[in-house]
Amino acid sequence: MPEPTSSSPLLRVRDLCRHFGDLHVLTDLDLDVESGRALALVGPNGSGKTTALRCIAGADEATSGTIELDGAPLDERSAATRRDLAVVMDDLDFFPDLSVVEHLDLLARAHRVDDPDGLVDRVLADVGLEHQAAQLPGTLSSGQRRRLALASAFVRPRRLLILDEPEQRLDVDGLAWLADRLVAEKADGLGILLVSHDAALVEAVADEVLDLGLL
Amino acid sequence: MTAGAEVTARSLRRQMREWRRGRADTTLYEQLSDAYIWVFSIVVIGAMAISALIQTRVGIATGCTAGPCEDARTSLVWASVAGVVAVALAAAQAVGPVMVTPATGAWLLTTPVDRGPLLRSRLLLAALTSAIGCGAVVALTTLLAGSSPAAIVALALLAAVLGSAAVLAAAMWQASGGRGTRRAATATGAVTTAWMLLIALDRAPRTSDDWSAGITGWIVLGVAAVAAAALVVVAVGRLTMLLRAQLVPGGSLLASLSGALAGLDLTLAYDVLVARRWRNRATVRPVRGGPGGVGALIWRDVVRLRRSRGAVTALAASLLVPYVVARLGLDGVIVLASALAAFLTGVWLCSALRTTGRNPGLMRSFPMTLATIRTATLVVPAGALAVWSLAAAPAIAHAVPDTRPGEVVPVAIATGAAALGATARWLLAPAPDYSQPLVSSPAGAIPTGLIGSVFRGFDVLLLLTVPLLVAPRADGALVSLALNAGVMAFLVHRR
Repeated sequence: MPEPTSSSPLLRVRDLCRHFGDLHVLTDLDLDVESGRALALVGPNGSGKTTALRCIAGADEATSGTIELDGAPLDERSAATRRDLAVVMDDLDFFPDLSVVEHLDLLARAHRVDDPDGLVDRVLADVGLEHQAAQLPGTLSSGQRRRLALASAFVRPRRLLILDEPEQRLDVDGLAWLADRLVAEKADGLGILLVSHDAALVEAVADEVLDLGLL
Repeated sequence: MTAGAEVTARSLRRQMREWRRGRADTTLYEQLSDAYIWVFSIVVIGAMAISALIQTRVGIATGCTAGPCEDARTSLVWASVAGVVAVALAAAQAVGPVMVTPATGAWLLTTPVDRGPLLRSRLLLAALTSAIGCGAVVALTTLLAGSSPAAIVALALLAAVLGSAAVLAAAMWQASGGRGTRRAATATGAVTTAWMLLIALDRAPRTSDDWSAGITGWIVLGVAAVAAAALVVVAVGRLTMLLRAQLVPGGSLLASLSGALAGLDLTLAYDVLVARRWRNRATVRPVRGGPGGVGALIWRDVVRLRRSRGAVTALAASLLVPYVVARLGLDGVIVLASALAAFLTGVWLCSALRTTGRNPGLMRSFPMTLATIRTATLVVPAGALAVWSLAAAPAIAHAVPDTRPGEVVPVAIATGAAALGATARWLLAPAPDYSQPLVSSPAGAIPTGLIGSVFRGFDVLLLLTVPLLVAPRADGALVSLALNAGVMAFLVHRR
């Protein structure tokens, strides 16, 4: 794991570009995320919010630019980066033959967290999936799948949360819970980078807002 | 259609046909002219296949002259008849057998039109498809078993009638939830397995197919045909009892499978079948606990193994293949047939490998490298195939000139390992890349490597069994295992 330096933010992105042929989706994007703070990327459809997250999370390859975690280049192939980065994007799918609680149990144990049973039970209660614990993912509603995806980020160690439109398909109670949870995550010293179209969520969680539509 | 005109199933079908024909921009003749290469290829490959089959038949006949071997061949013909009926019932249960596409379900079944005539042609098409499939498989089996031409025709026709009857019976039971189909499929599957077991143990009752070519055979065929005709009447009469919820799921499944097969993406078809199987199950008894780190992934596969009794049973049943092949006196193909059987059944134990392989989001959730995750998901299937190999070793010994354990066991282990290598190759195959330059073909532009994707898995299987076929002894096994290690290392590290 790279040694943190006092001057470097948790996540630093400089001159990030992503071009698809002649289409320049991102040009010279700069952003920093400090520990204990949240940065929200907002903007209209097609402004490159999700593309930026995909490049930072390693799901897509940037055309140029640098992405640093703790002052060292971010390499999503390294086990250390995978330990520190909790990512919830649309490309997260589930094992068809493991139940809701088994998914969370597997992740907690794979990350060797202390007291995995207690943590899984707490998160399961937090996301309101206690009654679906034995259900297989194929039978969950889209909202319940979203809650499971979010829960998967909370049963593991993390230093930076990357969330792509986490409000999607959540009901009113779910949105309120999500906002409270993210604020608590910040208080625990986590950095958060999120893309959202929900103004209330951004207002409640984000310390800084970067509007990609204005760049 | 004017308001107040009588709407019937026939008028709806006619209108849809007119719409489709109105949109056609080429004639069938023009399509066939464009596809002349395909037609030519099919004719040439078909002729080669028929020639190869006849040569194989001659080879089997000359290699099998002893009494037990001939008995096993004849017995196998009857086992294949029971087997195709079991498969027809299982397939009918999976798709309906009467089904409609989601679009038809939404647009036509919601109209106040009598569903009977709408569904009749679908039922008859399903029965016809089953008849052709069952007849073809049994014709192939009887041809290879050395039956007389008259017996081949009679038994193929009998299998065709039984196959269509199976689908018609399944349609009859469809309205009541298909429990009858499930029971019949299980019973015929058990009969087939038991029969194969008796053949493998050389305990099968002495059978003959000579009578099938005579008057007795035609009488049996006639009775079966009359019974099938009666089933047609009953099944058609019950079509109106079918609920939309009983018709659309099969159509959705078939549409998904068709989409996967149209793109020659067999692994996508695998995903569709696995997802459907677990979605139908809906819930499981959760199992928590186990080791941490990489061990958690391996432990989950152990839990899966306990949960997937069908897959484990299929792998265990595939052990019959090497023993039956040995009983048939086909010593030269035991290794290839064993590896193929282990590959086709072992692949159902590897859902974790496939799920993590196609799912970058899920991979990112684990604190390990890609190669570590893939290796961890291969551990339990590898263990199961190692046990399978040891259990198959006595049969594989027929293919090894020196039958000392030190020579036979490495060959058996290498056979199972070849199946594992083929499985990894097949399940970790990247999807066709449509962003790459496309190749022009009579069927339109296709991505490079699309046609080759059909042979993925089988290519590695062949590569790894060739050393065992050329040198069926310990050193041949070592060469195969060394090649396998290279293939696996490449597959688990590939991004």
